[in-house]
Amino acid sequence: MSKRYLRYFFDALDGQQKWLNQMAKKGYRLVKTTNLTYQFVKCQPMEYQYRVEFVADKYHRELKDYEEFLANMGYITMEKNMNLHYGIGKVKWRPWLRKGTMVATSPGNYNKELLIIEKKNDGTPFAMHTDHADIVSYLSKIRNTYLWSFLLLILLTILAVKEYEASDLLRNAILGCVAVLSAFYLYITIRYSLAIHKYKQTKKIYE
Amino acid sequence: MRDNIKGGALTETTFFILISLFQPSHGYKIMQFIKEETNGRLNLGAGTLYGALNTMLKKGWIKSYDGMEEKEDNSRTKEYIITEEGKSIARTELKRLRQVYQTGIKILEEVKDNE
Repeated sequence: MSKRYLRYFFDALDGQQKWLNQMAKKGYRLVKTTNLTYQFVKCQPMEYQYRVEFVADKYHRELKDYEEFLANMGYITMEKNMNLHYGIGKVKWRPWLRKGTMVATSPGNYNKELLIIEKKNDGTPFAMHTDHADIVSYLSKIRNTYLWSFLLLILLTILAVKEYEASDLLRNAILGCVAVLSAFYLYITIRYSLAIHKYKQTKKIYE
Repeated sequence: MRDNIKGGALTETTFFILISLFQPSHGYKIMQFIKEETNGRLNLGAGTLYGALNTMLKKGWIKSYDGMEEKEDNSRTKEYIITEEGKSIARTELKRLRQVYQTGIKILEEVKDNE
């Protein structure tokens, strides 16, 4: 018997990963995802473990190569969107991921910013990144993505408020929503920054 | 992947991957080799291993091995093998580790004798 859920995670990595592992604990295995839906089938509780990996810095070919590598390690992968923009023929510049050269396209690597990785629970820890230098580099990419989202959101709001005339109520409602979303992005940015700082300190002594 | 150019110090991850590739090997086998040789102390994450392998490929320390291992379902697993440059890097690192070990033993044994 399958179960379908409609979900969107603003906390795309940790929040989504926590929920998938909670579902696995209850005995549900993820079999399919779309931009907003998750389909599960019944399995033994704790039979599977999940990690949500940030892969927006990989071009389409690189992502496929990484998925093939993980498949050879015995993992099952599912590509997942991080944002909710739809459309074909999109091109997006993501300078915060690769020194000025990263471009996301649709079709291609756009809306495939995340990889859900499933591993059969064999009782051993399931970590994708284990080297301190690698962890710092990986977390920095995520932190930069949220930081840029926060900054762009603030900038667009300032421009929009200046440009368009709207009633006080509508304007305040929009500003309220943007303030909540900005605060959330800022919170995640700070959370990743603190984690990066912690690993950088450890890296000075340990590998 | 980090490697200290001036001191010539490789990370433990880099060194273990290099020595695991004196025989052709694929991702899972490399991971198992490191886990066994360190008695489970170093359990590499797949993301870290993938990044390290790609960096070493770019540096020319390892290369893709042509005779890919065939699996039960007839699909093939990508294998890697160390290059001559990689062997030289691994030997230099072993020399450095030996030096570190000898200095450590000399000092710590002296301290032990005086206590």
